[in-house]
Amino acid sequence: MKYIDYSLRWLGTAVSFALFGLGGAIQGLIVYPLIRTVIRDRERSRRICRRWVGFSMHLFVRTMRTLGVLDYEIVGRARALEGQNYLILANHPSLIDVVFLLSIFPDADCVVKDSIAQNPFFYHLIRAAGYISNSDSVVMLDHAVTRINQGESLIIFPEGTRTQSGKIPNFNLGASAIAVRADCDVLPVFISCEPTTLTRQDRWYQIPDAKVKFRLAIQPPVDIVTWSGDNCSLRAATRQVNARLESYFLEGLTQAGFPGSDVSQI
Amino acid sequence: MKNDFLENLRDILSEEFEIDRDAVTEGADLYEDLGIDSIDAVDLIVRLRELTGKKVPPEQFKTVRSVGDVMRVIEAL
Repeated sequence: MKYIDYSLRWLGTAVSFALFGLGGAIQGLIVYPLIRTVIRDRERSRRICRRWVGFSMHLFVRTMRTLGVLDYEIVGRARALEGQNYLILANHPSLIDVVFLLSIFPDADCVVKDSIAQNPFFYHLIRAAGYISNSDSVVMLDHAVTRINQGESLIIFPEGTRTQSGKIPNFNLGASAIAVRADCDVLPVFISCEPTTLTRQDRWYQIPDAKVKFRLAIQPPVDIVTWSGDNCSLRAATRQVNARLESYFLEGLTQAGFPGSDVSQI
Repeated sequence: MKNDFLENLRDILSEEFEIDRDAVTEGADLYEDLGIDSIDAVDLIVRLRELTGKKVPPEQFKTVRSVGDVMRVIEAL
């Protein structure tokens, strides 16, 4: 019985990856170029492309759930619908996190790793949706602040890469720098997946022994101005906000009892 | 004009990043010698815009290494 379950989930995982790759390629080669050709206005076409990405990602997680690959629970979804411009920050246990976040926040911008931006499967999608590559940090920071000031939300994984299990979250200063300079509220999202899957160490075919359960908890927005204190220099404010954010995530993930996130158990 | 600008740059760098004014010479490397990081560079771009009224495209700032490079980029705007 156990083997049947494992085999079915393995098959489901393989199908999911095939769908994702195929869907990505077809959309990249046909849908996005089409949208960009038909809608001349760059801003409008970007918005539409991002909506399309969000819808595709939503469809994809629903498909994975139907295939029995994973299950998920999203808490605080109403906060995503408020429509305010936030800097959306999340921990990053798994490769699929971004799929969830884009499905929850279809209008949001996203900072993506340069290696992914250059990947042929995602290249067209990322360009069409106008996601920000992190290839040059000066350009990335400037674009990120500008977009938020224009009223958009922006998704960033402040760790810059997937969380290594058992490691205390170590945030790059970039996310805090953006928050302080754009002077926007932060919307923290706690993500857990149990058992762990698609971590940095895992290959796609290494599936866990039990069905994966994702939990995404969208927290109340945080006004980080109250965190930066009376620091007159942006530099000091950035460092202080970063330290506060790290402890906020550490405490929050532990308190919420997110499995796999309690570093004291490891 | 050139010296004026260097003085302005000294003001900005010393006020904003607590960099020793004397260390700010045309040949000084922003990142190696003055300890500017990419986040500082973004703030520097903002201050330069306030100073000159023109925005330095961050893409152009990629090629900037030294204080002299900053002066050339601003001049070329």
